[in-house]
Amino acid sequence: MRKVVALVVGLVSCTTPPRGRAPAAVAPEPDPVCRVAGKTVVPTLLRAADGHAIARTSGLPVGVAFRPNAAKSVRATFSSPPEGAGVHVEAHVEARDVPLRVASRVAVVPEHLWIAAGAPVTVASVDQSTVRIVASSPIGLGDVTAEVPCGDVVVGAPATTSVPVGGQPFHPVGKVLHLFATASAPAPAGVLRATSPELVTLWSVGSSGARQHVVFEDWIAFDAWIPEQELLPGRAPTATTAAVGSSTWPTPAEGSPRTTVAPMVKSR
Amino acid sequence: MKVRKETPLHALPGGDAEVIGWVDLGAEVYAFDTVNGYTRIGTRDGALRLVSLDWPAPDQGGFWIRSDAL
Repeated sequence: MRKVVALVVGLVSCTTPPRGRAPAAVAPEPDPVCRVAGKTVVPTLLRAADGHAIARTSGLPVGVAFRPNAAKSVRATFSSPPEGAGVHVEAHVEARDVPLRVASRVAVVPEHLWIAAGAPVTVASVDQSTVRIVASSPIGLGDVTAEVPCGDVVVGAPATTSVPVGGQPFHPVGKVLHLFATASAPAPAGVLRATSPELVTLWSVGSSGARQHVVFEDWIAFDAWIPEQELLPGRAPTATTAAVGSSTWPTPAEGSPRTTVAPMVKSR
Repeated sequence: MKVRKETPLHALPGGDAEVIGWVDLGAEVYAFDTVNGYTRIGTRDGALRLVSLDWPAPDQGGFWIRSDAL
């Protein structure tokens, strides 16, 4: 299996060279820059590549543009003021220190698995024109990774919160959920890991044969068919607890059967 | 003050000092002391601050640009 990434059509704000790029004497490397919309508070010291502090943020919003970086830290340019002519400091920070969210729903497995609009994400890596993001469900499902154009990510705190979808509640029996595109699809479209199955409530909106048509709406969302032996009838959740895991997604086989499903309805 | 040309941002005064970014043409900045042809600047909105202003032992660190860029 390999990770399936979502290439979402959208406005690409990644450019080469970036606006306001330092003159040749400053930054001879022709790095692309992944400029994200919005402004945010980055509560951290800004450090150079060798780790020494070069500046700190005051709690006022700054603009952020990511740059490719092989290390685990996020390499970014922080701008004050956030827009227009200003001072730009290049620094390395921890990914978790830069709050990001997706501007709109990101398809991970088309028609069946999404990262919800407004979901908080972290940056895993930056490419020339895209950014790889990681979304985590707060209630016990594993992480989902997607690669999106920089324009699909904005800085700032999440704008929305998760809500139950409704239907017949089920809980995962174990830590693995096989998601099928249809009630009769021979192979799963993806495998989702539940790090804390007892905390996960899935909503069945119908059944056929030995599978339940299950929808789930959180920072991660899916609409798929799951074998009944992987589900246990349950009750609606009374509390949520954060948990993190990981998931991998196979590429659906060429020509594999798919159904078009109605979009899930959120009531926010 | 307004920056008259896009210019490198140094961590210390002097051309050999570490470059930590840049300042755009037209950027509005506060200008502080000048050392060896370099002027220490601060961001107008204060969102990015010099490390030396927030640490117990102030040193020469900060945001420095060539004085002739101002």
